Amino acid sequence: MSQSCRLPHGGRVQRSAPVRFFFNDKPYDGLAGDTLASALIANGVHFVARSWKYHRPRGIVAAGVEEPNALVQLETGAYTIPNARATEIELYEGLRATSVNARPDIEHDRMAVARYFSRFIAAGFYYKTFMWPRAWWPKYEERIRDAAGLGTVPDTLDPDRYEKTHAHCDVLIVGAGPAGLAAAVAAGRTGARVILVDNQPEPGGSLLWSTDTLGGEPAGQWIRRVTDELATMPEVCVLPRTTAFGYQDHNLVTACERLTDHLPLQQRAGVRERLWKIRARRVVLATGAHERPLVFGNNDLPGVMLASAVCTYINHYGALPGRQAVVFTNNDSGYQAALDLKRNGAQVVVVDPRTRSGSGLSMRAEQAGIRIIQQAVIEHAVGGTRVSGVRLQGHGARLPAGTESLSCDLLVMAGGWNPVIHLYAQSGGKPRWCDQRACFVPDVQVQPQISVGAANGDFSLAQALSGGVRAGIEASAQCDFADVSGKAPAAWATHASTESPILPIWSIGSGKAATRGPKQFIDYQNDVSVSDIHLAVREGYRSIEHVKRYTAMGFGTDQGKLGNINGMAVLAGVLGQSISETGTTTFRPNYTPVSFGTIAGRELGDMFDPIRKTYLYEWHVAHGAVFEDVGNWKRARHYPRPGEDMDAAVARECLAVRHSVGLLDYSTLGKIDVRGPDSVTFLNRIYPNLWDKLKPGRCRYGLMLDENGMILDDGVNLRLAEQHFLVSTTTGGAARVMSWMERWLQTEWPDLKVYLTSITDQYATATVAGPNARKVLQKVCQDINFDKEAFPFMGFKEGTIDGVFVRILRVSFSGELSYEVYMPANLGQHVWNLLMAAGEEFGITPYGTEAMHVLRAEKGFIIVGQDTDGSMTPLDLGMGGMVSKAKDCLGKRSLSRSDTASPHRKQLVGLLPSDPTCVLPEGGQILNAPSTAAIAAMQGHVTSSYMSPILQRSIALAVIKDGLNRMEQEVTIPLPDGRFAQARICSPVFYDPEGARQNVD
Amino acid sequence: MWTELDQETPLVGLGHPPGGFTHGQLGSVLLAELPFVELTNLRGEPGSPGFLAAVLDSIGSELPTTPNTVATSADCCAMWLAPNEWLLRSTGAQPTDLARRLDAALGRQFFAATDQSSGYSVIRLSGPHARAVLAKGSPLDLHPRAFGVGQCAQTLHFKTSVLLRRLDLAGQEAWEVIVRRSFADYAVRIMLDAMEEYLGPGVAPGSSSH
Repeated sequence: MSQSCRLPHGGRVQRSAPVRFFFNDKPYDGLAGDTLASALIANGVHFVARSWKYHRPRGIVAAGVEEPNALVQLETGAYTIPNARATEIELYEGLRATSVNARPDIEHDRMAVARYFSRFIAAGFYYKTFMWPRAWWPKYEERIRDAAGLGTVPDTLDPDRYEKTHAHCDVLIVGAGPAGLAAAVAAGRTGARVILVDNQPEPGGSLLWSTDTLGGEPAGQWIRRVTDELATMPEVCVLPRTTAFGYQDHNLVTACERLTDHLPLQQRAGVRERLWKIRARRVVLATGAHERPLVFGNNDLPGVMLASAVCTYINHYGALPGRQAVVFTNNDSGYQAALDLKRNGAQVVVVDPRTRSGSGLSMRAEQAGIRIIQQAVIEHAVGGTRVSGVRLQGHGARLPAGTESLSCDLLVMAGGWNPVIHLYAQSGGKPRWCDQRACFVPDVQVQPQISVGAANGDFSLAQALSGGVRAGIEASAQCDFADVSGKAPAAWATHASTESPILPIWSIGSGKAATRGPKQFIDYQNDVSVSDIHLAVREGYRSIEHVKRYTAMGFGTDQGKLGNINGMAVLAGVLGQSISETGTTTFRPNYTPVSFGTIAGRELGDMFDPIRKTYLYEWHVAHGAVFEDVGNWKRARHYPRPGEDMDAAVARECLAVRHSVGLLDYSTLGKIDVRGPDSVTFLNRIYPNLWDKLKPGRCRYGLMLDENGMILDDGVNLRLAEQHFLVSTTTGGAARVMSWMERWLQTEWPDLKVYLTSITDQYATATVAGPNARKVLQKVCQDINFDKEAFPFMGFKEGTIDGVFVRILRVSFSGELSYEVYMPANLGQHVWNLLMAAGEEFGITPYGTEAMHVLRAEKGFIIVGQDTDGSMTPLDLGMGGMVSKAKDCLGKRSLSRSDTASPHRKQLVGLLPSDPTCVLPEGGQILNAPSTAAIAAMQGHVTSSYMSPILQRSIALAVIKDGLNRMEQEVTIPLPDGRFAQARICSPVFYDPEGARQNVD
Repeated sequence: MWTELDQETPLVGLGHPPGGFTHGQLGSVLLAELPFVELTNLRGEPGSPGFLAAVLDSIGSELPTTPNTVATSADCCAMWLAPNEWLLRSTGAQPTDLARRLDAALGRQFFAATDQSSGYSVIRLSGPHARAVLAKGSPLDLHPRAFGVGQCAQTLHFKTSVLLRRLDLAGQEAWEVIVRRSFADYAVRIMLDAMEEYLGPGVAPGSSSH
């Protein structure tokens, strides 16, 4: 298809490189260097979208990031991007895009009827209409979202790769237009570390198509020279196609670099986007300005376009947006567009509400023979899917005869400029309204940053350059990089032109006209018009933040970049107050939408959260282990043999421990080395039991309480020497206990001479449990006497296995004769292999955490965090005897509070289900009797529940109110299927209550 | 009696080559595991009489008292972790039983020396892209102006903590990364992934097994 609106020459597009692309399934040709928007305009396509609510035809209105209308669904399937802005999409071979919010297609949009009853669906319509009946809201919402949706989210996994990185610099400059480039070169020459980010494919900003000269040099040549110089500076990093989207605390600026989106799909490889987290000592914001639209009737028709966009399409892309143009301008910027249009053969009429001023640009327009209608405004535009004409009205004067209506195919708006203050505002700054320039400008700096150029309301090129240079030098100096060698660039001389002041016009006509006449749009993307703001005020809204939320102004993917300031001004007018008094809504990150891929980076799947592995992980895998997550650890849960399910495997492993010997990887338990002259005092304060009398070579079980007397953690502690202990913690509690103990040492008891060192990772642990455990160890360890008397229960010994230092504890979490072998982890696998080999004659069986849980539950041993939940005291567990009366400790005082001391609290008991095959659900609530009432009195809940292989029946642990006084009573546990299970309260020790088994010969 | 062949490093899951796991190219970025480095954690009061002198006697090196700095001697590198905590990294080929030597040397002083040789993995990352790889996981400024030779710091590597030390390797960008044993497999796998864009496409070794 021909590019009917492509100019014969000019622009930065590559005329020798045609690009075929598809828009709404129609093939078009563009040129390399085009955006999707510029290529569409070169093909005469303006009608590209349907609006969000009213489904009105919409066209391309801007040429950059602020575009509210030209949103497309870019590509399909896994690569699809919803709501991509056509003005930012760099054209590539084979590109496919479709309009969003139009079904089946933009010409035959089913919902287009909405605009005929738009009068009835003004702001607040949804809130008012679908309030009732309340239960129907989900249905309404589904339909509304369907009718009003934008793009479609991808339904397949994103195949692209995203990276994140941290970066640091002395001076970060955002924006590589004239101000940003000047700042970068000035800062770079001082030797400071500089990062320059810019959201365009190449640096230069508005200079890329400027006819200005800088220091006598054409703009293009100046850009090349400056960027070449920056490239030679080793400490300067220039990032094109990178949008700084967030300004966070402590001068952290987040930016997204797009690396492959400009390439054809099949050529893309490697990283698609990179998130930069840039910590800068100083930030220079050279983010430019966005032109404001003017607000008049039907100002949303396709073919209505910003003056700056017209200049960009003509000069940067060599595309002519129209041949018969009306330029509506309240400041001198519109004249530049008029001149550019005229120069390229278009007919142009300028409508300017001001009186004739004789300023530079307007005089040039006059000289070029452009007709200028002064003291007039556009009342409304007319047209269908493209603007076809305008109706004028006088502004302080009568219209010249015959100018009430003009026909046109392009309506250009120049309403003044809004500095891009988003990042300044995100940094915590409050923008200030400047009447003279009719815009919000940055005011007091909150973080170490400065705005320059148009972003600071300094719109002339000379101001941009001098401001940029000054900011670059000052920011560097503040980082101690002085311009010592006189290498700072002098300001570059530019051509000066006289300018006449802007005449702000925020909407046309009275409030009545706004309500009754053609809609005057403020926020294109959210279909918010002047009448909606009038309505909001009539309904009592005053604050700009409330009006925003009532009307949805400034919502959506563009966050009101184009329309918000006009909206604030209109609201100020309706309320009869100043714009300054009205203020702005809050500018929040992100400046532009950021993909989830970029936010997630590479921390996906197995790398989402660290997987902690023990020394034996690979062995577990090789032996068919099924793993369970405990904290970040992968622990072997059981080792099913072929044909075994989990129950069978666990039963086999349990019985092996009960009848012969099993081997368990116990390395994940936390281990803390406690050393120093005050170790005993410290442990006495941390634990409720006494540590003075524990002899070196002996172990003792300890419960740890928090300040409220609730159980925090538990473990077996060893006294290694007079002033040296080894404290063990639960797997999940290791880090918490270490912090807890350090906190008390450092903040409350700094006088205690105690050092804590984590040795969790240093030592691997293997538990040898079962009646044959001693025989296994005796085979591999010759320098320890394992005799019953020489090595009693709760003792430990140090020795060697094959020359490897080991510390062996005789403790038991299964009730069987059991030893825990501690060894340096590098040799853990070796010692494990020796234990397996030594146990072969006894059928030694590796067992996992599930069997461990069953074995301990048969003995009534608790697991902190399973049988306790942060509301259990030692008394509740029947362990009140562990609380020493001879001393104080953390949490002890709380145990005497009326509630914690009450004998009627929930207490740990055992439960024997009446049906021995019924394994009660863990977490199941306990009732006194079956009840189907909505509310029944809860007596407690099941904490642990298993099928016991050795008892050949189900068992459970539970906490029950007053449980210790309710032995032998029947209780009821409702089951998920609606039935009720009966169980009898009993002692939590189900097996070997006299403890004979760990004492076998 | 056990031999060196009976030992396993924390990176056993990435293969178990003699001399340690390596991946990459020095011309770009090279990861090399340094297996079985002797490490000792030392706690003590630098202001306590005789403490620094006794340590100097024992390890032949001063203990650095400036935060985040390193002191080195012929066979030991002492890294500052806290005002009263250091990690001693032996640089000789053979273990020197440092924890026990310190126990003997410091006698009844208030101190704690714990052997950590099995508790950590020691990784060297070198090559022109080494800093870029580390910058993906660490929020610290790793530029030589901010983090030079002779400095060390405890920081993040993605979601685990590591001890970083810049190495003096003939002008080559080179770092030592010390990470806790149980996190080492995660830390190295995500580091291999971070290296991928500088080494070209290809499956990182060991990443496909399970």
